[in-house]
Amino acid sequence: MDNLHEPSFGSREDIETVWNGCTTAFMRFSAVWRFPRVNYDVFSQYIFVGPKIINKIPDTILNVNVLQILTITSVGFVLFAVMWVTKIEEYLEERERQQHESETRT
Amino acid sequence: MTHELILQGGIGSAEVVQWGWIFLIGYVALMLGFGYWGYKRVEGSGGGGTSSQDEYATARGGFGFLALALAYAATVASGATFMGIPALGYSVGFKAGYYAMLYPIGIFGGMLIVARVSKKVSDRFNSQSVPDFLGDRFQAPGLRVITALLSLFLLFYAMAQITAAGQMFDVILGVEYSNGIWIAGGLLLLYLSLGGSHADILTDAVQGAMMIAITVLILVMFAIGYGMDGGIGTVNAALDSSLQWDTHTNPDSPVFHSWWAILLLVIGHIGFTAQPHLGNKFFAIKSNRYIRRFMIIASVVGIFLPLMYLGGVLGAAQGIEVEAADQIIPALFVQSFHPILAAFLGVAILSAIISTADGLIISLSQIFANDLYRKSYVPWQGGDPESEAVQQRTLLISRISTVVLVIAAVVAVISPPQFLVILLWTGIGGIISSFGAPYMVGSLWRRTTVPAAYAATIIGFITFFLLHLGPQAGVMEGIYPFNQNPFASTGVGFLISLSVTFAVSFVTDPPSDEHLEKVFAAEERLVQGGEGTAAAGPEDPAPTDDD
Repeated sequence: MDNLHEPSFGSREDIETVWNGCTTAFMRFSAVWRFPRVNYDVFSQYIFVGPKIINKIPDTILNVNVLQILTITSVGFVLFAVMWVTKIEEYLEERERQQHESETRT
Repeated sequence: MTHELILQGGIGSAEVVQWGWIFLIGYVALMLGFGYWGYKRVEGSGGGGTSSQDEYATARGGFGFLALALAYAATVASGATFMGIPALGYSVGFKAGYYAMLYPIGIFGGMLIVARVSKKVSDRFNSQSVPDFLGDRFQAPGLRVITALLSLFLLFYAMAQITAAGQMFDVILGVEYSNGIWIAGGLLLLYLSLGGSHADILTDAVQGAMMIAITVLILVMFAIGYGMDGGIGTVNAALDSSLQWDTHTNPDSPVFHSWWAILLLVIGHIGFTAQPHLGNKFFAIKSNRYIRRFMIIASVVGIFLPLMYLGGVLGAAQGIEVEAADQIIPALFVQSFHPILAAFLGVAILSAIISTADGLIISLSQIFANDLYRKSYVPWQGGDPESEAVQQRTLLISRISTVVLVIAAVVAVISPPQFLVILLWTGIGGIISSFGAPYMVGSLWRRTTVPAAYAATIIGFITFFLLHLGPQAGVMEGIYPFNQNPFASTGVGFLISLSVTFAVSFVTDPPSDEHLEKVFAAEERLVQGGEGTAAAGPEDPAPTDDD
């Protein structure tokens, strides 16, 4: 069933379908539930920018192959791991230390 | 018999078998050495705040970051790295990478979240397993028992590894499957019943180093298009169009059905680190002082090893014909290299399979010895779980249950089970969907409550049952691709369990402040003048050469 294999990463139509689905869901949700302090008018303006941006995506990105995607995800994960270890763990340990100091003072 | 068919294909040629036995004898000698070394560590303990039982169950504080990172990555990778993943590459081509290279992102991403807190809390409460950690973190003995019972499903995982080992004995060494599984079981018993977690981690670390070497070799072979006239482009061009690198998804395949299925595959593996045979590895690091180096090395090695799938892709491009896709890597080596190397690879695969099985058996033994006996039955009867008599009895139960579990796992697969993968994911998917979320959220968020942990565990498992286990057991039809895709079902189960953990935590009362303070209080090394000047203690031993 070779014809069922997807030939490319994603066509512009596919991405537009996903975008339209997400924005429609968002608008329907916001019709029944509104978060306070959120300016929905600004959101409404930017929703229509989506298709313009999608049309400007270069073909090289749309035709990216499996190896290229996996190289990006793998390098991205290693960078994330480095960031976690150097920044997040540092933050968590610092928070523990500060909590201990404030509790000791009180 | 399979072996005869493979002999015709050249994998089990006389020279390969002969060298295979030589390497196997060397391997057994090494394992025995590790087992004896582990035995000395277990029996020689008692000082430094650890008991023999604790040494057997966790090897607490016994290893540096490098050995432990290699052991962790090797345990995650298992025999699947050499058999299942290259087989996937051989069968579906480059898109196999969406499984091979994305599942480690989920697993090691989850590991980054829980490793440090898991080590800290387990040291404070003397937790010896993931269910025990949950019981101690939430002060919930019932949660310990429920999660321990759910963890018993890991026996299916161990059965799958022993089946794979029996098949490898058949393929590489010409030993009948029915004998191969007993030899594999005997090997496990030899060093596990003696050395416990010490032997487990040490053998895993060595196997991790061997796995890296073989993955480098495969990667180089793929990069230069070994056996073909050209490089990577030639490999791609030689493949059937449905296997080439510009083919991403396949609606006919439950695993690669769509981008959503691929995304759920990553999400489904985030909670994988809650598997008891992985979660207990954190307890063995010398100190949290070294946890960051452990995290980085484990992550890099962990994401590197599954590149083995490219060996399967290369085998398909070379047009190698095999009886079963699982044999593609041995077949590739036999075709490409001297029989010595092919034999070495065969024993390396065997050791990789056994490296996962040993961790599983140790974790399973702790369900009986620690989770159900020492931490549940003894306090229920009003006893002290930390008393010397209880510790000695727990160690005895650990050793006896190790023997019983190995024998049970071997007996269960005397006839190779037809639906082993389904049984295997009963355990893995069930564990991730149920207590993966409370384990991870509870490690970072103080506000996580006991009712939330119970609710998430039960609802997560029910979700996984409805989506995957029920349909697989024939109870209901289910929804495609979830009824055939354990990863996507686990992903949904995990997400729902995660949502329940947060939602219920917001509307229920957290554990007492006193207990939370005990769980989340800063480590000694952090409050005594920074990392470089912290005083040594149970949580913070002095650096050694190994560090």
